[in-house]
This record gives sequence, C-alpha cells and structure tokens, in this order.
Amino acid sequence: MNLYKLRIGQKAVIKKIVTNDQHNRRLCEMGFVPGTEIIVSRKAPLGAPIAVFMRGYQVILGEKDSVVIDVEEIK
Amino acid sequence: MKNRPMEPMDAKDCCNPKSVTKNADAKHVMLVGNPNCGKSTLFNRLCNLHVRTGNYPGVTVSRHVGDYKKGIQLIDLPGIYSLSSATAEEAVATMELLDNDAELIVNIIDSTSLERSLYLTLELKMLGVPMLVVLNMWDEAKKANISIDIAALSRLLDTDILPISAATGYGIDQLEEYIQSAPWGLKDPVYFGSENVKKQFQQLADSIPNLYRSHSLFYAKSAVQGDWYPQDIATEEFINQVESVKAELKGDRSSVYETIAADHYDYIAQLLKSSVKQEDLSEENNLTTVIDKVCLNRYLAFPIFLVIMSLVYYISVTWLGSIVTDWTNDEFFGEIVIPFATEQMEKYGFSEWLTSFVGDGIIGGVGAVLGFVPQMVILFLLLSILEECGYMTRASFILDKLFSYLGLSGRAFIPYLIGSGCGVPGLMTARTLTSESERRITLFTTTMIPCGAKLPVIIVFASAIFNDYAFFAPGMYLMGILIVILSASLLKKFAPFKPSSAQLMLELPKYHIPSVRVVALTVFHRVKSFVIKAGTVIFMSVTAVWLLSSFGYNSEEHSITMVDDVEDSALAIIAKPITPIFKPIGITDFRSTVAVVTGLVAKENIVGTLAVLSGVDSEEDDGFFDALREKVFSINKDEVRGLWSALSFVVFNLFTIPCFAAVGVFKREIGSTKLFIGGVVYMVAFSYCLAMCIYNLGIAYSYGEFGIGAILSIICILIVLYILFIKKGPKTEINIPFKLS
Repeated sequence: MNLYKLRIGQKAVIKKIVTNDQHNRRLCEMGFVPGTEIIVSRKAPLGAPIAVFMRGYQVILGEKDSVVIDVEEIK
Repeated sequence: MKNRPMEPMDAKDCCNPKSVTKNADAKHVMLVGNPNCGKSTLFNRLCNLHVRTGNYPGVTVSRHVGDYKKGIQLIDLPGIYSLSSATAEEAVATMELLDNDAELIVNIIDSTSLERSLYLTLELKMLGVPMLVVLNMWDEAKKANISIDIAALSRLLDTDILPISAATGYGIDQLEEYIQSAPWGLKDPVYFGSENVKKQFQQLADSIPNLYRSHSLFYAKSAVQGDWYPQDIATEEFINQVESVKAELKGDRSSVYETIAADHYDYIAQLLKSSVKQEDLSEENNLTTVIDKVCLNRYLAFPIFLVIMSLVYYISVTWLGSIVTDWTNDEFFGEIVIPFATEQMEKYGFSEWLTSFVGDGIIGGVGAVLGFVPQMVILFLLLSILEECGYMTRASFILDKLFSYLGLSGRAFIPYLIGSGCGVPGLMTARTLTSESERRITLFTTTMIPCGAKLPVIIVFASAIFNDYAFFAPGMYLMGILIVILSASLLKKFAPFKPSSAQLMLELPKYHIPSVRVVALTVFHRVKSFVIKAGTVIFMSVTAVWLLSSFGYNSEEHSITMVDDVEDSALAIIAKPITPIFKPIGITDFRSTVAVVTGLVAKENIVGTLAVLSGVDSEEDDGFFDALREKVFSINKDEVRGLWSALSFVVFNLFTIPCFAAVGVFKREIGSTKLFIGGVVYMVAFSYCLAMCIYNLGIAYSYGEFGIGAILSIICILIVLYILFIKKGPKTEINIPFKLS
C-alpha cells in the first residue's frame, strides 16, 4: 500500500521508496527512510497534497511524492 | 577554487536590501540552518541589517553578508535541508561553505524539531570547519515540554551548543560572546554514523590529495552521491573506487542515498535517546493543530483563504487606500503644496519657467507617486504579517491541486504573492521551485500579477475615471489572476514548458506570532525602496518629460522656447509619430504613448508622467483627475469610448512587460536567450492583443461598430481557443538547463 492511500490518522511504517535519483534522494534526506513511523495528519480540500507527521515535524507531500512511498499499517 | 558549478550571487536589484560586500580580510561566520529555523531573524538581530524573512522555505535565495563586529562578518545562507548541489539554493549554500574562508559555522536548529534538524548538522560536521550549534526557539521547546540535555548532546556531537531564542532575545548575549572568542581554525572532519559506512568514506577520503584534507570526507561523500567535487581529484583510480563504494553502500537498499540517510537518521535516533526527553510527540492538542483544523478544513479552507486575501486587498487598495490617496493627490498636493510652492516662488521672483518646473514638474510628478506611500505601507504590512505567521505555506497546501492543472505546484503561489509586492524578488523566489518547466511558467507569468508599483496606476484610474465602477480595482487583480491562469494554460502546450512531475515537499511550519521587528523592518525596507525610486529614477523621468513637454521649436523665432501648449512641445513631436502603433488598442493621445514608455522605466512613472503632461493647473482649480478624464481620454466628449480606451490603456500597461529592473531579473533567471526573447515577445503580444480585444469588442458592444479591429480581435480569440482546446501538448521535454549567470 502506498502512503497516498493511507487514511487520516492511521499509523504506518515506511517499507520502501519506489523512485530513483534525485527524487529518491530528496525523500530520504527529508527523513522518509524505511522503518520510519508515519501518520497522515491531513489531506488538502481537493484530495491532494497530503500532510504527514513524522520525525517530530509535519511535511506536505504532493500526490506524486506520496505514491512512491510504500507503507504498512501498524495495528 | 576553480570549476565551481555555480557562483553564489548577490542580489543587486531595486527591491532588495543592500548587502555589504564580502571582505576577504574579515573572519567569516556562516549562519546555516533549515528553512523556518529562525536564521534570518537571528541575522537581523545580530547585524541590524535587514534580510527579508518569511515563514516558509526558500526566502533567502542568495547569501547576505552583514558586518557584525570589527573584523567579523556574518553570512546568512539560504535555508537548506542538506548539502547537495541539486537545487540552486543548496548549491549556493554548499559552495559558500566549501570556500576556504568559512571560519565558523553557526548551525541554527529549531529545538522543537531536533530529529530532522540534526541531519544537516551531521552533514556539516563532515566539512571540518569549527562549528557552534544554536538551539533556537528554546522557549517554545520548553513550553512543549521537551527537555534537552545540552551537555550530553554537546559531548555526543563533539560541538559547542548554546540555547537561544532569536524571537525574544534569550541567549543572544552568550552567542555574541562566543562568536567573538570562537576557536578559529580548521578541525578534522568527522562522520557520524555506523562503522561500516564510516569506513567506506574514510577509505575514499584517504585517497584524496592532502590539499583538500579538511574537506576530504565531504568530497568523498559528494563523489558517492554524484555532487560536485574538485575535478583534479577525479583520477581513473578514484572513480573506480567511488563506483565500488557506491555498490557496497547501496546493498539491497533502494539507493545509496537511502543508505546514507538511514545511517544518519539511525545515529540521530541514538543521540536523542540519550539526550532528549519529550512527552507525547503527536501533534494533537497544540495550537497549530487547532488552528489548522479550521483553516485547512475541507469545507472552510477555500472560503477562509478567499476572505483573507480579499480583505488584504480590500483594506489596502479599495477602502483605506482610496481615502488616503484621493486626499493626498487632490487636496494635499493639488490644493496645498503646489499652490503654496508656486506662490512662494513667484513672491521671491523666480522665473516663470522655474516656477512651473518645480510646481508642475517635480511636485506634480513625484508627488503623484509619493501619494501612494500610505497605501504601500498598509499592503506590505498585511502581506508580511501573513508571511510571517505561517499562513502562506497553508495557502500553498490548499492551492496545490488547482495549480497542478496549470503544470505548477502549490509552491508557485509564493512567487506570485511576493510578486504582488514587487516583481523583482517575486521572480527571484521562483528559484526555489523544483521543476524546470514550473520555474519557466512562473517566471513568464509572475509579473502579470499587479505589483506595488502598478497599484498607483490602478488607484488613479479607479478614482479618476472608473469612479462609478467600485469593482474596478479588485477587478484588475482578479484579471491578473485570470491572465496568469490563461497564460500558464497556453504555455504548457509548448515544449519548453511541458509539465514534468512537479514535486511538492514542503515543511508545514508551526504558526507563530509574527515578530514586530521583522514585520516592521520588512515594511520599512520595501517602502524605502519605493520612496528612493520616487526620488531618483522617477524624479529624473519626470524631469525629462517635463523639459521635453515644456519646450518646443518656435518656427517664427527659429529658436527653442517654452511652449504654452503641450501639443507644440518637443515631446509631442517625438511621440506623435509613434502613437498610431497604439491606435488599434484605442490609444490616440500622445500623452498615453509617453506614459507607456516611461512606465517601462518604473510603472509608477505612468502616473507621474500623466500628471505632468495633463498639466495639473492649480489656478483653474481642476485636479489631476479631471485633467486625466478630459485631456487624455476625452471622456467629457465621448464618455463610453473614453472609458473603453482608458480600460484598454490600463490593461495594456499592467500586463505588458514589467519595468526594466524586473526584465533584467527575468533574463538572468530564465537563463536562456531564446526563452528570454520569447518571454518579452509573449508579454508584449499578449497584452497588446488583450487590450485590442477589450477596446474593439467594447466599442462593438456599445456602439455596434464592427470594424477591422473587431475582426482582428475575434481572430486572436479563436487562436487562443485553438491552442487551449485543440492543440495537442508536447510529447518530449526540451531540456534547456538552468544556469546561474
């Protein structure tokens, strides 16, 4: 499942980053590395982008950025 | 250092704060930190040299240098998340740090978000430059019940640490003391992370020549990550070694970047475990979350945004604005200052022409522009409060999806917003956009949003000519927005603007109360540059216009003499032959032609020029507004035609090429001569056709006259519709690389 499909408020953990090069790099440097716990805190009124909470801060992610992040829900 | 990919540059343009030039002899202290860490606020506090700040990433797009104490200079670098050369701002910061004259790095960290902030700290530690870590927003961390063991953290990072609050001033004295007695001189670079990764980098660093010793570790990492490093290192052996390290590090990760980032973040997690205690990290129940529940609510977000933006422009442009401006133009200058100055000069026996020069030329022209200062203050004040408190990032968030239809991301909102103050910094912030096509579309269209200098034009026409149409002023802003939308939709059908996958990764900062100091300084500096412009560029333009319009060739005496009627002046002789160019858009008076030309020097000049040329005559007791109505647009003779022609004039001036200063920045930022020429042609052609459609179709509607102009207008509209709905978008993206010249 990718991050974009995650429900608001559902805790999840990052499994894999499915993109290359600079896009991969940027995501990793911002803290999106496998094993990170993450929550979708908000979605924009038109469905995208989303705001996620992780590593103690909130970050806005576009649809194209969030679909390349594979996550697994934490029960 | 040779072969650097990009030169950091200073902003030298009209609306930027003056930067002190870098002095080679002084010791250089670099302020480095994430966007939103309060870096520029701190820089302001230390240097008292203003740098515009905003509560969103990418405001400091180039470095700013400030003299601090004798022999010490502070350098404020752009806010960055990592040291790479992937984006312009990161490249500027990285190159500045790699320059051998960085004597001390002051790494500013948001104490309330240590985990992410320390990533940059670990990268900075690889540079081998003495460093101080400053924990900013210490007061806010305390409020949020985050307790940081400074001694432990300092030991683990092998770095001095000071807690401060740039907003309240807490800890600033200790920081100043530290900077003045700092341990200058290079240190050994350190990699913080797992033994395995460390070993790999160290091996690579060992094969880098001694010349680069202090940066060796950093260059090793740069080579692995594909960033810039000195090319004389790159022997065949070194490149092979890099490749094997890359393969080794990547392992079964998605990329080598992931390995390095994960390594850093794992290390940070350990650091924090032993030095930080904080209660529940979730973002429930804090003020930001509560405000966002309302402001970013699915149903309320757009209405709230529209109300806020309308209020800003209503207050500054329509309501307070017109009251103040009507008074300054009609009463203050028209009935008090000019008659007083004229009377005094006549009393002391100045010659007639000098009296006229001062009264009608200088006071009339420059005064017409200065009358707008109160309005600017209100507009800039409101905008900078919104920037400072953190609302603008929210605006990007809710607008992103809408912008994506135009091939833009929500981040592009920021250049447009800043552009509504002044196009020059607006164009410069376009640098922070991540995709090249997005940058180009934004650069082409940012100056179509009416800027502060176009405001006087809008207001004068709203008060003098469209006084029965209350919607005129906000309507012009709305039109600006529609034109940006239309232009972006047209442009993206052409190859250089093909939308690429625009990324949006933007930190959502916490709301905070804007610092009075920063807001006040922002307003002060923006208004100051406006006043200075009025005193210099506009003063000179107005003088030239006055001289040319007051003197003419007297064919009876065969000499150049003062003329009574502007129609006989030298200016009329020059401008009249050009005026027919504007006939299709309904401009037939040569005064308008002159105003279009002086408007290219500075848009405020349009007002000043019209004021001088329509001869604000104090004796006849009719103000500038009446003169404008009657002389320039002949509204007393043929009201409807005059109104359409005035509308066409305003539209052409607002949406054609901006002032020369902005055109210069546009050229530099677009980085390609072909695109620059294309941009200028596009702006002129677009605004001309738009004005032509408005005038001719307006006349056709009001009078039923259907001439060649109307036919041309309909052809224009058909072409636009064809491009919008029938023309297919480009398949491949032409890659014209972005250059910092």
